[in-house]
Amino acid sequence: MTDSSSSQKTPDTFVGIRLVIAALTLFVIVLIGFGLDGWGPLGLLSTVTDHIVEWIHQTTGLSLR
Amino acid sequence: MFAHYLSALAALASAVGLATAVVLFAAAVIRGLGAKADLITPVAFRRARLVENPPPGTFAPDIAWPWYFASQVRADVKKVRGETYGFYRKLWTWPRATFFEQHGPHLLWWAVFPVPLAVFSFLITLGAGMLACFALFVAVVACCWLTALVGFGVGFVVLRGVDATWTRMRDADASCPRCYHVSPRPAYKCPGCSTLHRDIRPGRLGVVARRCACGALMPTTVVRAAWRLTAVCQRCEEPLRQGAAAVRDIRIPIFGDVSAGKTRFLYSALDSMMATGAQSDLEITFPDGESHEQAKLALELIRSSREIPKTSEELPRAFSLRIGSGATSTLVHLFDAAGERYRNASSHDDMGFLETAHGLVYVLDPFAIGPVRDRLTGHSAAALRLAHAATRDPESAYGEVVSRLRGGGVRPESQRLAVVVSKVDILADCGMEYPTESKQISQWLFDSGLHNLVLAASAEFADVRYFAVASQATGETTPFTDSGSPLRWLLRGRGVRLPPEPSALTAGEVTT
Repeated sequence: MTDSSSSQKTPDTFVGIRLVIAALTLFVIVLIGFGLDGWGPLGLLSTVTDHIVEWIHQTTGLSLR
Repeated sequence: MFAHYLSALAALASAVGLATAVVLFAAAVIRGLGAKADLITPVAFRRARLVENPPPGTFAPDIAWPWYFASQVRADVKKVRGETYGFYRKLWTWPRATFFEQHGPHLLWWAVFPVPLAVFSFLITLGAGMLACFALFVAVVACCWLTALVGFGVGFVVLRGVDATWTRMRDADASCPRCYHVSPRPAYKCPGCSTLHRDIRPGRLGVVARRCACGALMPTTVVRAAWRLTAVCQRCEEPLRQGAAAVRDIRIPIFGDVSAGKTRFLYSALDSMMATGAQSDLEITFPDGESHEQAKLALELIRSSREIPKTSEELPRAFSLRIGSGATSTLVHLFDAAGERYRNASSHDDMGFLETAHGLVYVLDPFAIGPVRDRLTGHSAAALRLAHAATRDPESAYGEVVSRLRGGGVRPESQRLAVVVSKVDILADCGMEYPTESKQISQWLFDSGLHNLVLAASAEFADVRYFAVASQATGETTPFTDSGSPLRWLLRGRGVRLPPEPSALTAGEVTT
């Protein structure tokens, strides 16, 4: 069904929706990243990071904080 | 200590893998949605629709860009998944060949164990990270899809509802002036490439607007398309009048025998309509060039009291006029076929306009009535010649048309019939008195030997009214013999708001 070799111009609406989807995905990834570091609305995720950091510290002696 | 060292190395490699996963996934999205995106073209979408769900009708689905979430979204997700997997697989090429190659010196790598450990930690975390990013991407797409689906559903229901309600309230149809085909909506030509779009309604090709394969934007509802696009007949592709299927559409055939005065009646009725319209600021225009030219010529003849040329025996094109303007206007199509066409049942088959009519005008030549002729013979022979009287029994033409209506599945009992006694000015010239009120006219016809017609008409049609008309220019006729009255009566019956009759008297209902 797809036609990647088409010479037809991609409609602007498609481009717009793709940009929105890509931007939203990036936003969510950044949000999760900040959340893992204890920032932003997903700051609770930092508890997961704490567990991992603690585990690495105990296993390797490395201190990431 | 060595174990700690290895763990630290693995943790470091994993952290780098996680960061790389985000970067690589971003690259996969850019490639999948941008540089290397698979595009579902209008033709490909139609091909898929034809395979999935062959249309029940004659026509294949229209060629236009589908709504993004109808199909393109799946292709995009698939492409991003492919790109993500492609990147990841590529990253595995070197480690696979290096660490798992069974021949040659590559096995030596296992001797320096920390290196494979770091590489695998990196790759496994990178894989997990890319998978997580892709899952996030899918979740975002799903949310957008759901949101768009709600918007689509609301738009679909509202716009289709508005369109359907408007066309039902306005009693709007798309009627073809050439092949007489009537459909709820016409086909529209793309303003860019003239490709036909046969179903413009909101749907998978767009809710508010659709984009033709050529890139031109088109409105999706009939109500909007009627004024912005060129509408054509679904069957013969003849251009339709502007506003077709969005404004009230009324079709009125005028039938009767040869020389009964149908065409003269048509144009004198038009003259009367235009005169009364002008008095009350009601705009009456011609929506197509042909009707405009035809009216211009015929009105000149009528106003100068000259003869109207004989109607061609070819099938008639609708003579159209627009009453009012804009979205609340009414398109009136009048069909004036030559009398010869009503003379035999076989030629009725082509006259599809009879079956889709909203009202009928039967033009009856009083000079074709035997007892009337008998009364005139001798002392008014010259006037009789002047009248170019029809020669056939008036009941025959009536009977054939009603048979045709019944044969075509039309219920005449749901229609109005205006029986028009024409040429009453000549009747007066011959010294004969004639009635002007509906009941009296029907009685006069009844007494003149047309009792079968009078009785049958009142039994077969929902409403019958009789008119005596002079078929002359408005200035030359009396208010009681105004040719516009039959048309106005039929049009009012369909809800058209018209100025009052020139005559203070109104014809009464037939109560035979």
